[in-house]
Amino acid sequence: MNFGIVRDAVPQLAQGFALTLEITVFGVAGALAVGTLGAAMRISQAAAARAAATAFTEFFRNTPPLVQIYFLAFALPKLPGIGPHLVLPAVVAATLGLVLHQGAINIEILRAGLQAVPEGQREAAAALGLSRNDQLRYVLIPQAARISLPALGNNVISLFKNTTLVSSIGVLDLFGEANDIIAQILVSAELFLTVGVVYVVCVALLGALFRTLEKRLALA
Amino acid sequence: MSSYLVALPALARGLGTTFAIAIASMVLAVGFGFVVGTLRSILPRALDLPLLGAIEFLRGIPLLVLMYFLFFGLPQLGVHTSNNVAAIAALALYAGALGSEIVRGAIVSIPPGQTEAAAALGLRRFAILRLVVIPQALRRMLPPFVALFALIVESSSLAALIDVTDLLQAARQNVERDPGVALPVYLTVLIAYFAVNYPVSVASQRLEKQLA
Repeated sequence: MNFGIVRDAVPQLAQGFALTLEITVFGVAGALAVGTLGAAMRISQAAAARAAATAFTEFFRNTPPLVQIYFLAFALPKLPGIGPHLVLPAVVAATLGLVLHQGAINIEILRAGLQAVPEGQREAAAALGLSRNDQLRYVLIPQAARISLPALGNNVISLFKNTTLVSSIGVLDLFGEANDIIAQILVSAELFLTVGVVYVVCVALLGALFRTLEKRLALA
Repeated sequence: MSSYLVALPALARGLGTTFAIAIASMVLAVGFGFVVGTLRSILPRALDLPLLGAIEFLRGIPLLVLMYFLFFGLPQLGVHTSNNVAAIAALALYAGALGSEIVRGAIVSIPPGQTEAAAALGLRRFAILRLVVIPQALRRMLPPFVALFALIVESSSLAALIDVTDLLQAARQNVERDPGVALPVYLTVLIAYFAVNYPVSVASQRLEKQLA
């Protein structure tokens, strides 16, 4: 094994890593937004909102994120009529695919968290005259977020690992850049190992971060 | 439309390959999970450390990186693998690492009074594990293992990227031949994965409620 190859590749890999982080940040933010909105719909009083959110959750968490990315990148532009307006840049289609899948999982996590908040909390908030939206915003969601934090953290880690899928449609994230280099110099074991270790270290750091956060937010 | 119909037999064969890969990976992952998970629940901490490290590595490395390493990287080190073998090995290692956590978690969740009572009855360590602890732990393992199968099916789509002709790869090949069929073909593929995984997820949730 010749790790000199890896040294020469550092600038290109660093560029890819920056894009990996960028996709992770946008992906996590999008997935949280989808999760919050969807979970609120899941516990709404409107049956149609509940049904729509449930269908979305079940479909997108039971289909592979890779296939969702391919659908957004290659099938969506073929929709009759509006298709030609839906040609997304590869990096957008890929990030959106991750947001749909990880967002659907977040909906389920947050819904379970909301339902784990004792009923008395909602009743007390209602007795104090809070509107249904304010009950959610000031009483239920903060407590549900704390209950859901470990699962949400795992989902962030899963999204981070799944960013590697974006390289399959030509996006040059860390893994895409590594493959690009490998295609030129035809040496792969060292680069895959290096890139693999970078991901493992990041996952460990994210795991430690969430454990610290859980401890900070734990009650007493 | 007609070229969509032409694609259907290939998609069906692809689905068959997806099943074959998922089932092979599942069998290996369950075996790997039981051996490593049981070992980890009984080994002293010092001996457990290398296993813990290996499991954390397998849980931390993205599946795609692992699969590419096994398929493209290993031949450079003198170990030649076919794409099917590399895909199954990567899935089995990844799911096996998760499986070992399922097994270990279930074993350590059995109240220590069970082990103590069995010891008081004169059972040896291995007999306690085999006759008392594992049978009770099995019930707790079942729902997460069922959910693990859905994860394996979903993750097996990555095999298309190393040219395994699974469901996704069959779709990619047909779309490459005729980009006009992209919409119906990819929609069919999404629905096919959903049709497999949704009942599996529901079964896992039902089992969890029943066995709770």
